Amino acid sequence: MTRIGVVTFPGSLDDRDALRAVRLAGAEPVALWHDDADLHGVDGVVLPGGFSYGDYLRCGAIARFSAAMGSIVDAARGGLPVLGICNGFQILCEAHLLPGALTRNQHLHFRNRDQWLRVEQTGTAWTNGYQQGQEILIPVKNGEGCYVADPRTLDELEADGRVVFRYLRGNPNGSQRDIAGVRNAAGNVVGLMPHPEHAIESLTGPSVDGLGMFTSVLTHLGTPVAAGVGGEPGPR
Amino acid sequence: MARVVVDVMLKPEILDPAGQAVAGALPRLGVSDVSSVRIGKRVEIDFAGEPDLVRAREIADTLLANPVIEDFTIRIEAAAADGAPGGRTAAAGPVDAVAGTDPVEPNVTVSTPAPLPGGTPLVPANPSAAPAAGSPSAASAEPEGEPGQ
Repeated sequence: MTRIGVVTFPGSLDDRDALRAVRLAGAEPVALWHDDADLHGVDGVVLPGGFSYGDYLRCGAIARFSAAMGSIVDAARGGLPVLGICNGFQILCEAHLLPGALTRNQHLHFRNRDQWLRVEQTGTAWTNGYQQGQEILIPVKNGEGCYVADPRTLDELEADGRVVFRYLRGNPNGSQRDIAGVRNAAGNVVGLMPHPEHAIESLTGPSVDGLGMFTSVLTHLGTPVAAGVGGEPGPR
Repeated sequence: MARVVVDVMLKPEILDPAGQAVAGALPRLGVSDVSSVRIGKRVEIDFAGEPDLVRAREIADTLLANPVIEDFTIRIEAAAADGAPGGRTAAAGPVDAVAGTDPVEPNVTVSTPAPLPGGTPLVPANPSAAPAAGSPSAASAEPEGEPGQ
């Protein structure tokens, strides 16, 4: 069975939800610890949301130097699928696995709501189960989710199809060009501010649209996805 | 003790909503002639031995500042123990802003303003020049700009 690891940092909040999402998608969830450089043979890694190391200095700045991240950076350069959600996205930017940075929300408010996104890129390890241009509804909750990069980098991202998700019907944090998520050049590393792991069951989420990210990686890794799991838009 | 001070600021082109919020609050204090406020971080690094600017620069470059959005400057601040009166930077408002002109120990916050020599400006035109005013032997305060990404 495909093994997907979820790293717990001191201050992680959504690691349990991410582990649960991995399980519901049909993979074996593996809890990884920030202080352990051993990735325990996982086939993919999720960096969950939260406030790693208190987010002191800058969000994700200290987590980047953890033992687990050292191994993940090396493995990601070798093709290991890595999904960074919220704080995980911030960590991936700090680790230079993804371009740009996440800064304080333009309006200074913490934003917590269900958010429409457009899937701009399906050619990644984490989005191949979606339709190009599919609109999905996923919770967003952040105080420092304003995506910034210099104009040249933004132009390159657009030209190379590396903008993976874009905010629809309202930009919750002032992100440049409404960017909600980006990928690396190879497409194995994806980061986004909204929380797919909170949209995997109709009982607790606004949709089950988030499950597609956790099933996509199984397709990417060559694991058949059980019928009826993920990918398709769920009940609103 | 040898202290290196690193000032981290958002790059000019990066929006600073916190600074804008402060600027927006100033009219409530009756201040109407401020056009912009930007907020950064001051990091004090105390080395056990000699101040090591090279190491401090590495620390600033890899951890303290994110070169995608921030610039930093590094300077050595003269230590309290060496008896040099200079080397202080403005830390406690108008009193310390005239560092080097009053006789208190460096890095001691003074709550009662000392009398100012006539004509002394409350805020030096160039704050980084304050240490040199008190002690020419104060370590170099050369700012080091970081290239952007």
